[in-house]
Amino acid sequence: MTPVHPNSGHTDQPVVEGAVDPSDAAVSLRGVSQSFGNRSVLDDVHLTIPTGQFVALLGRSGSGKTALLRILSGLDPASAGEVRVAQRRTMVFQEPRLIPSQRVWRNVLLGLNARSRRTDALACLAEVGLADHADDWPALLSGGEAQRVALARALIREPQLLLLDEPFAALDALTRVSMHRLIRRLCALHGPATLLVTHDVDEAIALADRVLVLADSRIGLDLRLDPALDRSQGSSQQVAIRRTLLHALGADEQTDLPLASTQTELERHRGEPSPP
Amino acid sequence: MKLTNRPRRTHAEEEEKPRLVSPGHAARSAVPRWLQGLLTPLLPAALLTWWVTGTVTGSIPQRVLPGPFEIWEAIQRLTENGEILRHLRASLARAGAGLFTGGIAGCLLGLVTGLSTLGNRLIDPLIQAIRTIPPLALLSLFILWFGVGEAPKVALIALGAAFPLYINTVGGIRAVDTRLLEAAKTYGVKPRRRIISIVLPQTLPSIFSGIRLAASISIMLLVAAEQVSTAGLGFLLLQGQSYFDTAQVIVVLLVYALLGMLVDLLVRFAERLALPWTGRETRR
Repeated sequence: MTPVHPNSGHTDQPVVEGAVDPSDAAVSLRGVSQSFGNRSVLDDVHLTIPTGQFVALLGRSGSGKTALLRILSGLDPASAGEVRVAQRRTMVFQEPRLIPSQRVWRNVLLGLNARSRRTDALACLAEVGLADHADDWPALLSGGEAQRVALARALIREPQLLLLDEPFAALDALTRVSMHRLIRRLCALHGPATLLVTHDVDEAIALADRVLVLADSRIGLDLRLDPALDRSQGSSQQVAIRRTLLHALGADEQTDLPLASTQTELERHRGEPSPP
Repeated sequence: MKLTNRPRRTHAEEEEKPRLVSPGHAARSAVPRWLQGLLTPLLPAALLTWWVTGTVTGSIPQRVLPGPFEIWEAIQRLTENGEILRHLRASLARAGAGLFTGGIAGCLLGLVTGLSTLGNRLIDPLIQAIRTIPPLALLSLFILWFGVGEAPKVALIALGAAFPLYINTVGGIRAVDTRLLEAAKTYGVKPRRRIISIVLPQTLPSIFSGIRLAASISIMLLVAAEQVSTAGLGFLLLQGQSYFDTAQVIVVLLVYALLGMLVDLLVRFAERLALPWTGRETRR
C-alpha cells in the first residue's frame, strides 16, 4: 500500500506530490505541526503506524488529539510537515453522525458508488449485530446502536486506516464494554491500522497494541504493549501501565490516599442530623 | 428555632418525616379534568347563544349582524346555481398560480443564496430591500404595468408567497448540521451529492413551514387582489359590502376561514408524506 497525501482524492484539494514512504505503513508523519491563530496544538510530531496496528492516542482535552485526527482524515491541512496516509481511510466520530433522512442500510453505504448494494450493507450490519435494524430510520436507534451503524459504515469500505475519535465517549459503561469487544474483534478480522483517540486510560490499555501520549503538543510517550499482557482491570501489569500512562499525562494517581478513612468521613457526615 | 418561613406549622408536623409527593405534583392544574373538558367549548357556546338570542329578539340590528336564518338564506342563495363555486374556483386558481410561481421562484432564489456565497452577495441585499415594501402597496403599480386582468392579481400573490419561501429556504440551509457534511466529506461524498442527499432533505422541514406561511399569505392577498375583478371571493366580499349585505360578507368570511384551515391541513399532510423520517413514530 502506498501512503498518499490525505487531501488527495476525497477532498477538493489537488494531490500534493511528496516522497513516497517505502515502508508498509498506513500513517507516516514527519515534523507535522498545527496551529490555530498563534496557539500551537501540534509541534514537530513524527509518527509511523504500520498496517494492522491498533494504536491508542491519549491526551488531555485540548492536547491536539482531535487536531491530529483531523489532519489524518484530510479535514484540516497541517500547518507544516509531511503527512502521508493510506488511501482508503474511514472515520468514526464522537457522535454517530448518521444522515437522518436515510434509512440505516443507506447510511452504511454512504459515499460508496452506485454499484454497492443492499446485501453488502446487510452483511456489514450483521457484523455489528444490527441486521434487524437495516430498514429503520436513524432516529429510532439508541446511542449505542447508532454508533454501531457508524462503525459498520466505516468498516464496509475495508479501510486501510480506521480513525476513531472518542467513539465510545458518549456511551454508557455497559455499552462501552461490549463496544470494546466488538471493535477488537472486527479490527482483528479486517486488519486495518487503527488510531483510537481517547482520554480514557483504561480503554487504551484494554484495546491497543501501542499507546501514544500527547502532551505539550508532542508525542511524549510511545508505549508498545505486549500482546501477552494481562489486560484485565486491576492486574499488576495493568496497574503498572496505567500508572505510567497517567504519569505521562501529568495526572498522577495518589495511590497512598487513605481511601477507607475518606469513606468513614463521608459516613459520619451522612449520619449527622441536618440543621433545622 | 423559628427559622422556617411557615410559622403556622405545629411542632408535631415538623417532626414528621418529609411527605413524598408525586413529581408532577406542582405542575398539575387545580382544575379537574372533567371540568377542563367543559371549559374549552364554554366561550364559543356563550358567543353562539348571544348571537342567536340577540338576533332573534332584535337587540342586535340586522345591519350589524344578521341572524342564523339570514346567514342560511345567504348560503342557499350563493350555493344555488353554483354561484359560490364559480367564485371559489376563480380565487383558488389565482391563489394556486401565485403560490406556485412565487413559491418556486422564492425557493430557487433561496437555494442560490444559501448554497453559494456569490449568490448570497448578489441576490440577498436586493431581496431584503424589496421585502420591506408591503405587497398591497405594489398592487397599484402592478395594475399600471399589467392592466386589470389576471396578471396583476397573480403577480401580487406570487410576490407575497415568494418571500416566506425564500427566507425559510435560506434559513433551512444555514441550519444544516455541518458535522454531517464533514462526515460525508471524510467518506468521499462529492459536493453535489452532499447537497442532494444531506443539505436538501435537511432543509425540507423549513421549506414546508415556508409553504404553510406562503399559502396563508396568498389567501390573505386574494382579498386585496380581487378588489378589481368580476369573480372571486374578494369580489363577493366587496359586492356584499356595497349592497349592505352583511350576511353575504359573513358567508365569504366563513369560506375564507374554511379555506385557510383546509390548505393548512393539506400542506401538513404533504409534509408528513415527504418527510417520513421526522414523524413521531420514528422517535424514541
